Amino acid sequence: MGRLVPLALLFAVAAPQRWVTDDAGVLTAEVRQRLDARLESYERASGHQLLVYVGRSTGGEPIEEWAARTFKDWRIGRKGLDDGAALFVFVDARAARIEVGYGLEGVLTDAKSSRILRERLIPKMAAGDPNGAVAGAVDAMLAALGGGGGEAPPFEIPEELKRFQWIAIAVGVLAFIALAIWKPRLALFLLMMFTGRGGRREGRGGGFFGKGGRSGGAGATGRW
Amino acid sequence: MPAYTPSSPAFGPGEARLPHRIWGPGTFIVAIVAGLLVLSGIFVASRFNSLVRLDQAVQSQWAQVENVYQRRSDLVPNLVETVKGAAGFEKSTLLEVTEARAKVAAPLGRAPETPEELERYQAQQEQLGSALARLMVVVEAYPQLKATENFRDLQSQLEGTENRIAVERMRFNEAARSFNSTRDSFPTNLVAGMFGHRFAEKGYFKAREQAYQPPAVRF
Repeated sequence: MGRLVPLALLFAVAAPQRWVTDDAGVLTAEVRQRLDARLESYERASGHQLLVYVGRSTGGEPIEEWAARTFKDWRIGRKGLDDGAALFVFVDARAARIEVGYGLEGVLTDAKSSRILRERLIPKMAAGDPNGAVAGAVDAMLAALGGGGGEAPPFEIPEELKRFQWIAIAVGVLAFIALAIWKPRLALFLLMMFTGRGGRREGRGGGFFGKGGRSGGAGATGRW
Repeated sequence: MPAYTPSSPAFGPGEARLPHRIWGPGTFIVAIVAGLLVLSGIFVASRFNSLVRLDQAVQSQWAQVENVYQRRSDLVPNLVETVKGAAGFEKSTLLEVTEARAKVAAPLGRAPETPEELERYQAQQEQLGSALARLMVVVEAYPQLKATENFRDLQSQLEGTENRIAVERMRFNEAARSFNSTRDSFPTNLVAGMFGHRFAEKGYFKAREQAYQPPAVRF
């Protein structure tokens, strides 16, 4: 997998706060914010995490290795579902990679990823239009994932689990009622804590945070 | 008949003599030994379970490795068909690929039990890998073929598969390393030895495959 790069020299980027991060400074604020909002609402609607990172260079590491490592470090996609994907663009290295999580491999195939890079990203990058390139690639990726408006297929809970789910809910409700009767203050406290927690998460501004997804090296690389 | 005195037994000679203390030095030693046996038993069980857990991680990662190698093998017929159609394509390279694929043995189903077995497996797969790499190099000389959408898709699938192979092999090595470092550490290695070949050391994938790397085109 390429020559060994000493661990200390590996170019690592801290997990991003937003869906679109531009460390190379080539995207305009307008494009960046528009794409960011689009990807945020896509995640809200479908649960899939789609990330864009634009940097200058991987620091010598092959882009495939960098992408696989970074994808795992940033935990893109949901744990178990592995429904994340990322577009990594390196302007100085003139290379880009679409890295796709295990769960989306069947939809955003290698062939499609390769085509997206070849047809949408690379021509515009080579022509000096990074904004058009990245926007076009994101559009295409969302289209492939069926997420123009975020109607990607939701995760279906298998039948046996559904029944169990009802039983679990019933038991939980009964337990809570019992608790409310014997220790009403504790029950009230728990109630507030759980709803408060949900509220607090929203209040954070809803930044990106990885949910434990992984990729198996699927996707495509393009160079210009 | 001797007179009864407190030091002599209350019952006559020939009858059973009860110990006058239950917790003598003998029982104390027995208790210690029993305790040590129980503790060692618990220790062995916990080490055994750790080894089983790490071994399971290796097995499941091996399944991933075989999965992606199979994926590559599955690409070959389509690739060969597409390339065969190209006018005057050099037959020998295609033949090499087909033969290399045929030589690749059926999936093992479980992780290799010895490092040698893994080496053999790797060697077979690398034969196919290099044959494919050579094929793709030859295709460079056929621009019309290269430009077709069909071929491009196949090419991207092949690249994607090679990348997947690299990733899963790396993860396998990590799992094997985890297993080996626990297995070889003292005193777990004693426990491992107790179970014969079950917890034999795992082998690693060595070095990089002669895999297909797309040529870097510079404008």
